[in-house]
Amino acid sequence: MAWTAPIRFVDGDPITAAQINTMFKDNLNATPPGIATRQGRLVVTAGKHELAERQPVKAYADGTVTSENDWPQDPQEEDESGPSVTFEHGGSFLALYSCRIRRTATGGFVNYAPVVEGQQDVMPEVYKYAVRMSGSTFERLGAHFYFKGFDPGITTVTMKYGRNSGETARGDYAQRALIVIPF
Amino acid sequence: MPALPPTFSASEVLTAAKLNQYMEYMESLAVHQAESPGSLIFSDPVTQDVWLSKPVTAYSGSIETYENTDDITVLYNDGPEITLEDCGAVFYMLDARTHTVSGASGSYIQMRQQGGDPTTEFLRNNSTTSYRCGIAGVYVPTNPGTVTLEVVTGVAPNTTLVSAQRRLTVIKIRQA
Repeated sequence: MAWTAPIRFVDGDPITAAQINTMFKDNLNATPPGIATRQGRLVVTAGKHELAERQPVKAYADGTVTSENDWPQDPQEEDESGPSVTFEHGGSFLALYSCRIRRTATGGFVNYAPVVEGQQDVMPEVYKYAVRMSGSTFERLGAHFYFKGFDPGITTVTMKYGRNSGETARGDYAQRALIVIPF
Repeated sequence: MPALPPTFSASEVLTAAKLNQYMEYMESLAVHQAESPGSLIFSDPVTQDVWLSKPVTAYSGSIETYENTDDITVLYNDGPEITLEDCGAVFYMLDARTHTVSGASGSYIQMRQQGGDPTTEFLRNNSTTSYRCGIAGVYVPTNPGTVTLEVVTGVAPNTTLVSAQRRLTVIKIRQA
């Protein structure tokens, strides 16, 4: 229900049912209790005088994947790619991501990062928030990125893996976690 | 703005003035305050009012090598930094790529208010292997109000450290 800016009543003017329904019933239905549909959702601003529910999402993949592709690609085992999440947002969202990562062959760095569907070619931006590793010992490493400036709607984000700055590096990625909080 | 809706008493006659008190209360609600997408709604336990807060992020893409030849830890504050108004506390996330080139342990990357105390959490990588890692926490500024939060790198005596591609994101969670 859309919000209507509150009016000012004047002594002597009749108070109508339409005024009461708009000012109280309809406007209260535009507040968080009025728009709530499920447990565990955030309520955020969605525009001028507008609120919306947002559902934080999480995906986790336990298995270890190996990638010796150029960054960023899905690993060789397609059934182990990702994880990925799909969610509704108002143009911005916060991604939190981590996994255990190691480099098993030298010749470049191994990397992973969440990549927005359709944004895979925007590599300079992705490099800024990728987790990059050059060591051979498994470490759980995580980071965050606040995505903004997108058109409101439904978006899919997928973890991508691969090497850069070389031609022979190979990486292992295990226990991969991806959380997105949409705004 | 009134913090709570007005109450009718048993013998009270409904007047335009009383209804207008309700209208003023309605203007204090988050939906009336909303101007643009992407703000979280917070409550103030003192005034029982609500206020809006949008995440803010800052990034420094530089790759800094700090060589400390002194016998004391040296603090470098090359940022990034974020300034917030009317700030009493933030939830923050900080990550960076870092490694130790040579020297002792005890170097760190953390956040502080300019002129204030740093966070208790910090990033540390004593190995010569470079990687990105991150932390998150709640920070209460030493001096609430208009607050500039900055990322600092502390380098232990006789240590050379790389601190690179630092990213800071904060969400104000309490007013000053």
